[in-house]
Amino acid sequence: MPDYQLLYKYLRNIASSEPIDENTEKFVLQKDHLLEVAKVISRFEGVYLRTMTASDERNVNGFYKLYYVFGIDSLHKNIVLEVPIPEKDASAPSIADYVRAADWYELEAHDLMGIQFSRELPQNFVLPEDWPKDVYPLRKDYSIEDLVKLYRPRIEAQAREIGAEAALLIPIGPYHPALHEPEHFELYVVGEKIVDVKYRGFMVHRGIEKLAESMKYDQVPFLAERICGICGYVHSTSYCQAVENALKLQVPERAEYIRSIILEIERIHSHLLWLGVAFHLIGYDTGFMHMWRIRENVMILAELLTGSRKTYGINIVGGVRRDIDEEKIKKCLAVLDNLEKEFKNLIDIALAVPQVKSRLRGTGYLPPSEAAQLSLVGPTVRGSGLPRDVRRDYPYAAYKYVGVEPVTRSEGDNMARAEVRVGEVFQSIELLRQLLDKIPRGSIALESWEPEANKHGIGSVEAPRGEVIHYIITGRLSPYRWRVRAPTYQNLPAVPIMLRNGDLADAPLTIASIDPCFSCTDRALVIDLKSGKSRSIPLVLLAQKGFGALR
Amino acid sequence: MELVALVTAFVLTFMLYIFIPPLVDGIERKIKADIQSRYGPPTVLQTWYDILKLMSKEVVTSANPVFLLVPLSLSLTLALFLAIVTSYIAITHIDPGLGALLLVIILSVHTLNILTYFFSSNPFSILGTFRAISIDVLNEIGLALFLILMFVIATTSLSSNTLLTLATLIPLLVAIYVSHRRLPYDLHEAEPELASGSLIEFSGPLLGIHLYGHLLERYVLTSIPVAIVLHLGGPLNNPLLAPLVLHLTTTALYLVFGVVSAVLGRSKVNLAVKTLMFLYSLAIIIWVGVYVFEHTI
Amino acid sequence: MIDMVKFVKVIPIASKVGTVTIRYPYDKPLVTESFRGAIEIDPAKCVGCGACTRICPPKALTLVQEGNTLILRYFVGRCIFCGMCADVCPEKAITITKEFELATDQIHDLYTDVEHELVECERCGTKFVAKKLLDKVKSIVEVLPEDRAKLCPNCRRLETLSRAATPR
Repeated sequence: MPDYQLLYKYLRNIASSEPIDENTEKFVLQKDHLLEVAKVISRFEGVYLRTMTASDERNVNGFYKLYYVFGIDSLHKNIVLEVPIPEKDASAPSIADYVRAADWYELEAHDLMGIQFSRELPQNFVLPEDWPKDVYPLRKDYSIEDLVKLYRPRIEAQAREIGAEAALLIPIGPYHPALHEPEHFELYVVGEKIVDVKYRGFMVHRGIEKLAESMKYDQVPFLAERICGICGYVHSTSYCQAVENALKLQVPERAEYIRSIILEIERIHSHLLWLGVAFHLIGYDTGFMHMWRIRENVMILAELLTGSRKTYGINIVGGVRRDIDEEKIKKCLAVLDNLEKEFKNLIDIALAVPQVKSRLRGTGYLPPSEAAQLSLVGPTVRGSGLPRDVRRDYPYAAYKYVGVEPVTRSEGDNMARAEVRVGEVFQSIELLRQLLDKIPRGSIALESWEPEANKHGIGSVEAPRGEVIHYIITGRLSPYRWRVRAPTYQNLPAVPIMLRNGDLADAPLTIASIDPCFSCTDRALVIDLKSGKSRSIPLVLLAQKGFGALR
Repeated sequence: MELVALVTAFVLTFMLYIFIPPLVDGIERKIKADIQSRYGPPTVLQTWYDILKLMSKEVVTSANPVFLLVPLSLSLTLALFLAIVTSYIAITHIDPGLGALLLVIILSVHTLNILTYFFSSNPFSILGTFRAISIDVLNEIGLALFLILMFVIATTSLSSNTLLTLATLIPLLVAIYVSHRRLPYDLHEAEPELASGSLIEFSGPLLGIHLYGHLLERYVLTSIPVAIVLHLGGPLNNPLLAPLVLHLTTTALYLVFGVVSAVLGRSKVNLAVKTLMFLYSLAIIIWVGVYVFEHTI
Repeated sequence: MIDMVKFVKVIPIASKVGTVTIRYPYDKPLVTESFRGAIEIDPAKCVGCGACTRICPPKALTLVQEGNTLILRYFVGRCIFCGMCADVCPEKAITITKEFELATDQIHDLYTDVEHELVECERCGTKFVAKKLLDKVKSIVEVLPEDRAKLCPNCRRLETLSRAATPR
């Protein structure tokens, strides 16, 4: 294992250090040193970029700030690099050459905050194509009036061009009743093999981070829960943990246990859902129906424990709002016993179906070296042999008291990722039994707490899809800056690597194997480089038809 | 008397051919729903309701609907003709001429179906058609070969040889299963999306005719080995028994196929072609082996 | 070899489990005892303090002043059934029911109003607080200057200041 103390010594030499909590140290760097530091960090193995956020602090201290969060898994420690960017010269060096995982974060900071980086960046990564230039939504001085003013002249000019009398906006965009889900994969093929993939997404960008800046602290968990349609609880927990870490709030142990219990229940239902969807894509509908049948018991259990099947709504800063009594614990254990038996039977049968085996095995290969370089997370990276798991590396909630060994497989193909998820369901059931047994008495939430402005906090949680990490800078009544990074954001850059040199017919299943938070019946644009023609084809269709019919 | 009984049996068999296929498809959907622990359609007549509903809708096509209507109607007519011939076989007798006639009709029906897919220049349709052609061409070789062999066995003394009969019957049933275009070989039409693949431009009455013709063809094809086997011991004593036995056995066989397709997934194109080639080669080798074995003893 | 036909075993599983779907709406839906549905506000207990309107994340509960009345308006269309209002209400006037079959084609069915009479300021005449809230505060706070109770916050400041400034 490398000597991380050298890294700390180097950083303390070159930057001023400020501890945030016992596991996180923040270094304030000059922006000229950023590239050097990135080069040094990238040479240390086992240091991963977890997230990066840009923050507009001009009315507090006159600077934009970039915060890079690096994590050292084996030490359970975080390193935060704070880089102030002056208002007059809002540019920063790009570190994407050395830390490849920083690619998307720089694009996003460029798009939403307007920070120029030292490399050629395409316009409009997150924002739509016709977004006016120089209007950056995440800046504090952004106002709707600017946007309306900038939009209107363009629409009027276009209307005049076509001879219309007035312009009426009718959106028929990526959102349309005819389309399944709004995003876009461009697959470049030569012959039968896929050569490269370009992804255009962010069509469901809802401006949640900006919205939270005008909500109170205890209202944000409900907003956070609606970030994802399957794993919302991880976001509300991550947010609460970020605020609690920032303000040094001590959450009661019972609340931590309850949070972990609900998190594991969510993990089980999410993995069962994914398995059902994967079977459906392969055409094995019977497996899909039965998998969702046994998942239904978990949903009913979640409703019994929290009051709702999916948007549980039991998190507040400082604890939880609903308790678990003896009767509910007994019910929970009964459901888990039943689930374990049924799931084991069903998965044995389903993975023995010849078509399922032949389509999962050997497709969508992800090399472990690429997985490490891109700082991938979740079952995607554990299927390629890297044992990264937030529950073990940066313990939170009740995982501090219960040990978790990450489930890994080494083959790196679609079957490996499926097997990791199956293993995790069994692991979750075991964990739940331990947690339900050891849950201590006590209160379930803090009596009261006081917000303080300008405190930094990181909250991270292992979602079913990987690591979720939230970065908070507190304000007096609401969060000043809230940065959400969902696991699919980190994992999507791996999709081109997995699809390259694979068969076109395996593309949908491979894309689904990272368990993206969108359904996989999507449009793929297939461009045949030899003939120059392009057309749009649903991915699920590709799964059955393959490339041959493009001739 | 004899003639009246024969004619009644013939008409009854044929009429049942017209009404049973959508009904048995409804039963299959209910059974598949049972396997998946859900209710499925409200009644077993659901497929009939679906076809009638489709027939009542307006015609919306990208080109002149006549180009689609003609091959569809021809295909349906030929399927009905196939039913007539099979009824005749079931009630009276077999001879190689009838076998050849059956084969010609089956191949024509398949070709006309492929022709209907060319109606659309939609890329999804072309994708599906290409796949349908690859599987069909390969499968028809097996189907033709084992159908001919089955007729040969049924009309000669070889029928007394049970092992040989089985070695011919089983590959014939597999070939018929694949020609049903069910899972795992429904590659021409992607089920997770509605009516796409080669059927993407079919809608309204055209889809209704296609659906009915397809179900009829499936059912008649399934009844052919049953009709042949019925005659292995000579013609039936009472011709009026023929419709009952024929249709009951065919329904049972059809439903068995339905259960098999409910528990399997969808195959990949390249895998499907390889599997079929392997299966038929193996079947031929086994058949030759059994024949040689039986004749050297 | 047995492995190859293992997939058939799904059939005995299906036959043991039977049918799990229910024919909603002809069969009753299943909700557990903890289920959170729409809320119900008890007009007798509500004092019009507005704590619920401040905590409601989607702003489904709002306080609207129409003439002489203060209205607590509950719009089910925005409600996310989180139940924070029930937790926060000091009078425990809000209960969480299990109602979720709330669809209707008349939008005014989705609005529920609880009306409160407003108290008028003795000096400037603005209506500044619900009568019930004022009565409640009077009953809780022992040392309440009665003479300044019916003044709006602005007038109360001015009155207090003028008394402090007046030499004795």
